[in-house]
Amino acid sequence: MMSNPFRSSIVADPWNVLEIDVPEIHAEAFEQCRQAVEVVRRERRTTSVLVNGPAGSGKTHLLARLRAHLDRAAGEAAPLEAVFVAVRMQTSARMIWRYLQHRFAADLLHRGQRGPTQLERLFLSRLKEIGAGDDLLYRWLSGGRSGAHSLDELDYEADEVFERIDTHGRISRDLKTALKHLLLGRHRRDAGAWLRGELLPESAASALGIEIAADEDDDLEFRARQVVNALCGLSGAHAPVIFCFDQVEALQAQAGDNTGLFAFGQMVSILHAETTNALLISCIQTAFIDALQQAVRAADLDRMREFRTVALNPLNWGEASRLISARLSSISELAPRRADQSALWPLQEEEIRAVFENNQCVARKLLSTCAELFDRWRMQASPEARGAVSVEEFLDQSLRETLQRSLAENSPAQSDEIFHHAFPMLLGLPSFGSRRLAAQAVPDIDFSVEKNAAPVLLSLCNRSSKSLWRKFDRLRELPAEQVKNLYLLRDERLPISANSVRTLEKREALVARGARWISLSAEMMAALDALRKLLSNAKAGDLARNGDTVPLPTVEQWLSQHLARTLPGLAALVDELAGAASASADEAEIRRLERLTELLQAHHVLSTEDAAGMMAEEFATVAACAQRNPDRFGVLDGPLMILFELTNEMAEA
Amino acid sequence: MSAQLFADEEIDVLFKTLDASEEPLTKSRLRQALPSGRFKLPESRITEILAELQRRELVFRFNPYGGKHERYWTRRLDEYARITLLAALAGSPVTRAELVKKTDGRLKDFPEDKRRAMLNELVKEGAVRKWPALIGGRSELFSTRAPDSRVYFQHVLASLRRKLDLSEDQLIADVAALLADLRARAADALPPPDPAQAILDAIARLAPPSSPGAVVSTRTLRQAVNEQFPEKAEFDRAVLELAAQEKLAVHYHDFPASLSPGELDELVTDGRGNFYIGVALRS
Repeated sequence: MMSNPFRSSIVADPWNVLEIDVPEIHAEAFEQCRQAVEVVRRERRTTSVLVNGPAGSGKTHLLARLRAHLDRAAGEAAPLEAVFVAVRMQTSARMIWRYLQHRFAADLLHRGQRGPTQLERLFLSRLKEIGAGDDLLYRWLSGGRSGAHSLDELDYEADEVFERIDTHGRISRDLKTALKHLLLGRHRRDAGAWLRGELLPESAASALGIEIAADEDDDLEFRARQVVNALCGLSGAHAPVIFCFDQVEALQAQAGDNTGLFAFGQMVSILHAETTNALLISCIQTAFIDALQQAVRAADLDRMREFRTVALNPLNWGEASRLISARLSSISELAPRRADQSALWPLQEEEIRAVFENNQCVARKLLSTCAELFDRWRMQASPEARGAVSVEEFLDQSLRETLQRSLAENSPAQSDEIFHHAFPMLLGLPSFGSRRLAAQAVPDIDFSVEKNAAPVLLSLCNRSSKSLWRKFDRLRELPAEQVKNLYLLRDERLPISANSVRTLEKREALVARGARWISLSAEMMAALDALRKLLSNAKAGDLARNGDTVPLPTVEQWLSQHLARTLPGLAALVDELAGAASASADEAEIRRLERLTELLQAHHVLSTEDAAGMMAEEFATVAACAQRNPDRFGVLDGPLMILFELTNEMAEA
Repeated sequence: MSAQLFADEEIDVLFKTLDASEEPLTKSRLRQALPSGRFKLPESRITEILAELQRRELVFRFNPYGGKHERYWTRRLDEYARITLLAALAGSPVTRAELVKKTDGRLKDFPEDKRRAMLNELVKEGAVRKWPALIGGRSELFSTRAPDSRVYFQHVLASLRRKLDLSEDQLIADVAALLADLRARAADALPPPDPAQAILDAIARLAPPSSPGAVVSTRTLRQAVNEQFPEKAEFDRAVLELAAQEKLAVHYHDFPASLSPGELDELVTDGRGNFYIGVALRS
């Protein structure tokens, strides 16, 4: 059947390939962004553009057009002319630099269609800048690095490049090491993880030749900021770094909480002050401008819009007709029949004009309307037969899709970031009306939830054992009343090793004094991730049904009512935090679970008998433990009873 | 700014006071600016907090000017320089050399060549406008305002007065006669005043000089044309009429139900359930 040229038309990610683009639409805004890139290149200074538009006006489409333009200008496999970094601000104030580092690194390692990564192309441009000949460029580009030339030789060349480009010594030894691994194709997975800011196990860090750094919150943020600055410096003036900050609205996790927006303003100012080759594009919904102005310092706002403030206006009729016509022209089967018809055929002008208000319509609403009209024409069905999807069905479907992606993609390295962003959103749901977050005075407490008289204190414990040990020590100093209301949370995929004896002892002491140890399952983390993504999309006006934005309160209300059914993982977490779940497991059971997780992470598949032997436990005890936790361990019953590690895909199933 | 930013209220209050200041403050001026009562902190505590905020890069230190004491502010030196230059250019237009001289006292730490370079940047951004030299002069002028012919007339008239040795009264009488003549001739040719044009002019004025197509909030716009449109309904009608003529674009609010009646009243409405929060000139 003929495809609908208006379906899958919304650009949700600037990395999406723009199949159909009408350059006349938002040409002025695009031109301003293009000029800003030129200013960064020519004047060797960082500048910024603030993009405003109503929901659905095409902010992400504009970013995708800019990315495509920069890529086209250079050619897919040629040295890079600009580094493109797309950052949906789905994070919290506390982790904002780490999140930026994560996104920056992920996009640097983004591979074009089967081509080299941005990092590899960037390196080529630097090689070219320092006068490398075509043969050398070709060798790096064609992957000849594993061929005629030895790794040592290429290692030496890479060193020379770093020496020439890093005259201020901003690229640390560790960063240089990780970059060289990535460029030379060694330890790619671990080097990539390090570059994204993920904490590596000691063995992986040692294989990379990288030191395990301290992992206190402030240190990690500062280190992330240094890495971001160094990566900017890596690309130099000829290849500006284009940071596209989208969904800035999502930084406001709860109504009235401006900490995320304030931190964003500060981050923009710091990038402005500390880099000389970045373009900072911030996309904000028009309806959110006032909130942004109230939340950030005036100086930071000035920095955000230093070069230009551009408006993405709704389309007028002329622009709309060009867009519709371009979409229809992309369907070759229609061409012979369209030849002697109006430019909009098979759609009717008056039906399209019906969605125009005051002679204008946002692009998303227009495309959605045209998609429906096209379907109706194609099916020759009456409007009544279309079977419109209700808001509830739409939300149900959106959440299910988001949850599936989260189950497949989320890793324990993201757990802190997900929890920090999602938890205030969860508490902001109407069903939690009586509970709210209180200000933090103790750095080791991540959240303090006011509930009745005594606040519940939550402390995330996803760090390395060494850092955890120090944290437990500090938490022990809390007054007894507070320890009784203390919840220690750790992703169950990060078991504390049985070798970390002192850490385990200190945890045991805290649990003995009344603290609760909560293992966050992969399912809980995926549910939190899905929740924050759905709410972030709603906040940014990116959640649309039939072209109309679904308002945030509608989504919050719906989530409140259907939490237990749609996100059972989250409902379990809420029960845990409310103390409604069964009593916290005892220390022996916690250790048993961790040891079994650790063993399965190392061996992937084990017979229960072997596992029991390694754990120095009874067969029946280990078997019962595994069977009690089917969301954590795979169990194949039979005479041998096999245990296996669950992967994301299995958990999803 | 959220109260949750700083767990310590004293830090929060001191930061807000400093952030609200229009220029860097000495510790004693900062103390004077602090709210009375328990937040009137002793200088030792102010010193302590300033050190902490400097460590967090939320406050920056400036060398003394206009006195012997160091100053502190929530903006960096280059931001301060930019603000100082823009303030110096907000009044009468000045030449490059006059600008440097005018800002010498406040920008001791920001050398002349940097000030000149920043001026060039401000011109490129559109934040500062370059004016032609005065009649008979050579140096270009700079101002944040668009060139104003009155500055040139004033200069020419002053020079004529000197050349012709006219008294001030005589000069005024001659110019008034000339203007009356011009006005009489132009009166018939002028179209009647167009209130809708006042809206377009106000948007052009309210948008940043470098971004004429930027969104202007309907609240700010209405305040600017209150004289021409004392009635909200008239204002709303005129804005929507201009939108229908495609002279401007209106940006809708996607969830007006979340707004209070007072907030809704600041938006333009078409009476069909659509509320608009911002407007922008169409190119």
